[in-house]
Amino acid sequence: MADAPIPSVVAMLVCDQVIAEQGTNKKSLIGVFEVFNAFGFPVFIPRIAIYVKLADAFGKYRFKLRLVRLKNESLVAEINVEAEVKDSAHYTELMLNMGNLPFPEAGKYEFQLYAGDVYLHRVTVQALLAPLPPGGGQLWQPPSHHQ
Amino acid sequence: MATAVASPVVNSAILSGSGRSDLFQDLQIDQPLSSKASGMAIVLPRQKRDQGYPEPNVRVEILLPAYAPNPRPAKVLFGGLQDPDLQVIRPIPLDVCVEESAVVVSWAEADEFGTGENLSCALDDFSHAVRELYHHLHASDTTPGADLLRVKQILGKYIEPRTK
Repeated sequence: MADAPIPSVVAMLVCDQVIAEQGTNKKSLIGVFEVFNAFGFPVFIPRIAIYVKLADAFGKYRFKLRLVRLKNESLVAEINVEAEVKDSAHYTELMLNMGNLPFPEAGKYEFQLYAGDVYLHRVTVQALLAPLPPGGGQLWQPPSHHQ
Repeated sequence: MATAVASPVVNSAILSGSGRSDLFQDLQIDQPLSSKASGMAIVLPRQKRDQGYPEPNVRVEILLPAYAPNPRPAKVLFGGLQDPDLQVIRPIPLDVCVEESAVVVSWAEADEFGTGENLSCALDDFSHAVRELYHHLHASDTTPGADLLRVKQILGKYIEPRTK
């Protein structure tokens, strides 16, 4: 990272899942969102993904993705990714599919991206407390099979 | 505080940005692409089942918050100018402080600063100020005085026009 150029973030999005198509390696972003609802907190989001498109990246990097609660700017989680970009002539894509990421309480959160110790970009996510549905908040269950 | 439980699945795009057409060379073609003979619609080649992803070139680790550094440190290295015409060639060192419930980031060397309700908002404000200053100082109709010439030289050490 010491000699690697500072990449520029062209796009950074939060979604449910990023799928890379075999063969073409094209990315499909499923369920792009910036606000989500939960019936209670803390909540673990079963599927959440970050997609980042970078320009000017070349060489070895240690990317840091930090999930920060904006209310008090406390750190919820930090994920380190070591990567080597071998082709500077084109954009670079970074995709992270994560499971069970914790959100301690309702409010605004931020995913902050660093290359080494250099701040690059951020994307905000808002967690809302959803009112329980009428009838006590029973979650929908798939119907059982009848003979 | 908790942290992510499951390891993230990461695929770096060592190949994705390149758009190399040789990815298609190993595809198995079940039917000819020409529809002249049969008069039917063109059938695209089917991918091989074992083609898989390219060899990953990333390593991932998850830190517990207790071991991770403060998300609002006293100093920040800034590289996110967010200008399609400009590139940060050297990280800009910023001091971070809180004044009257607002976060202030300041670049002492160039005497520039940004403020906001949190660190990211302050960095956005700083980024906006630096972008405007750079474009103003490099506009053809601007003749900066001695002070602004010094600032222009400092900006030139950290920021340059994007060449590609």
